[in-house]
Amino acid sequence: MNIQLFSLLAEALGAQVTIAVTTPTTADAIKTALAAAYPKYAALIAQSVVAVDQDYATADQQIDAAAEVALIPPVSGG
Amino acid sequence: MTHIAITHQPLDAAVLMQTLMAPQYGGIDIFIGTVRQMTGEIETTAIDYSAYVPMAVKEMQKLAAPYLAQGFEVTMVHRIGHLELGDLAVFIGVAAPHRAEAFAACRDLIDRLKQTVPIWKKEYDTDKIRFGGLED
Repeated sequence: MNIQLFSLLAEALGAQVTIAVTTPTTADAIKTALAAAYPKYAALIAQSVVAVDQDYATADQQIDAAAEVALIPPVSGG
Repeated sequence: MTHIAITHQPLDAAVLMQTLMAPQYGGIDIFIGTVRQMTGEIETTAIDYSAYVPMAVKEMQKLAAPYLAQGFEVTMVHRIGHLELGDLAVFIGVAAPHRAEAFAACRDLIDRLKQTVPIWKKEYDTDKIRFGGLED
């Protein structure tokens, strides 16, 4: 599954990464897989929220393979 | 016509203010956020803003929706890219019939934008680079 990244994570890892998860999956499972793949950023990944099709996802929301998935680190606009 | 956008272009407050002018509105409240030099002892020289643009626009539309439903006008524009000290980063304007509701809506919109809209700053400080929202 492709995951869009932003801010510090995008600079460190690229604007998009691919992780191996069986679909449908959940936001929590995506964060767990990302933290396992990139342990250096586990703390920031834990603070981040998964977005699905440009909406914030709940932790146990079902996410299918066709979804547009992004990891939203703490925001700092304004 | 509601103006909600993420843009690379410099923000022109005079132009944006015109989007809020209409005879039914007697109170227009505008918040402008700019790039600040000093935050305590930390000196900033510039900020790069980035966004998840389609989601940021969608989140701003969600924030504006209840006020638009009341018949207010809302303009929310955030600039992204490289900003220097004093540059306008965000413009939030609310036009309402009376001042109290315009003040309240404008404050609510900027407070919530800072909490939920996927926009990030990379701050160039004299001692180091800081990514906004994160612990040092």
